[in-house]
Amino acid sequence: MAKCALHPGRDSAAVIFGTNYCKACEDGIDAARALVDKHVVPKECFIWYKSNDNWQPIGGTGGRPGTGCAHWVAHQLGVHAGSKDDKCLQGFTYRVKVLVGSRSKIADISKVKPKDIWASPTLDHTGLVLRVEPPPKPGGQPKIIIRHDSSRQGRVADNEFATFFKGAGSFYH
Amino acid sequence: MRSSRAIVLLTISARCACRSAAPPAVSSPSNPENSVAAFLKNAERQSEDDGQRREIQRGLRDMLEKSPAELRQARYQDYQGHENAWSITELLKHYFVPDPLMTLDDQRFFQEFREQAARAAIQQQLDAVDRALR
Repeated sequence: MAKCALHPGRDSAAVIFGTNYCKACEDGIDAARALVDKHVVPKECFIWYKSNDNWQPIGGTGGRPGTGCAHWVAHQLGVHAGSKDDKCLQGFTYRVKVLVGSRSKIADISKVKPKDIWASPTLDHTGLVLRVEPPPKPGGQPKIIIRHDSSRQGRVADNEFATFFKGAGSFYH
Repeated sequence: MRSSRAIVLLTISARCACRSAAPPAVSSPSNPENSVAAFLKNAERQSEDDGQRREIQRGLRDMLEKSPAELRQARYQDYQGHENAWSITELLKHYFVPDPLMTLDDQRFFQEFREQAARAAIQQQLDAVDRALR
């Protein structure tokens, strides 16, 4: 009989993201998932085990979860950078600094391509380049559409770099 | 005589070995690390626009200026800008990802947010959000 990864004295009741968990953990995981905020995508793994059968949404307590922008990007690109404390239950990075630290900064905006990472100047928000359209005039700036997990808009949203993000921030391959 | 010396040496070396193998000291309940400082000092702020940053700035300033009674009454905008939606601890939990991950206990928060260690961590985060808003 397989045992719980966190409680070796207990039998496994469920396999979640490839790991065995006991019934108390399974119930705790279900309860914590229900507390993850509406804009966070994906929700199932945005939780952590605090202690003593106490599972929590990441970044919050008592049903008040935190953030999700870096976590969404990490899932899209398969980024597993950082230590255990930087990653969701499924092993994806959820801190902006760790996420962009795993990539190379793009010096020339004309080199930006879809699936590059965008991050705000102070690395407090991040998204993914969805589309790059050529500049309307030769020598101008390309139109860059960024898809991001937006707490302001309550969903994963598409917004233009030059207007919504005021043309600020950096891109990373 | 030799055997008694050997016993003494063995006892001393065993004590040393036990000491060196002991786990590192942890904060005792009577002298815990300030919970607000622990939550904020290495936390990553994740905020999307200047409206959210200004609300975080307001909350951090209130933590430096208001009394516990006043701060308990204070309310802040939520992510979408709805007024009077969150308490100060809800604001912090939504925008800051502590490192390492930890919870913020509301009762301890109001007992400890005016301590020196907390104020230093609050000021550090306030300076960072001030820079982001420039």
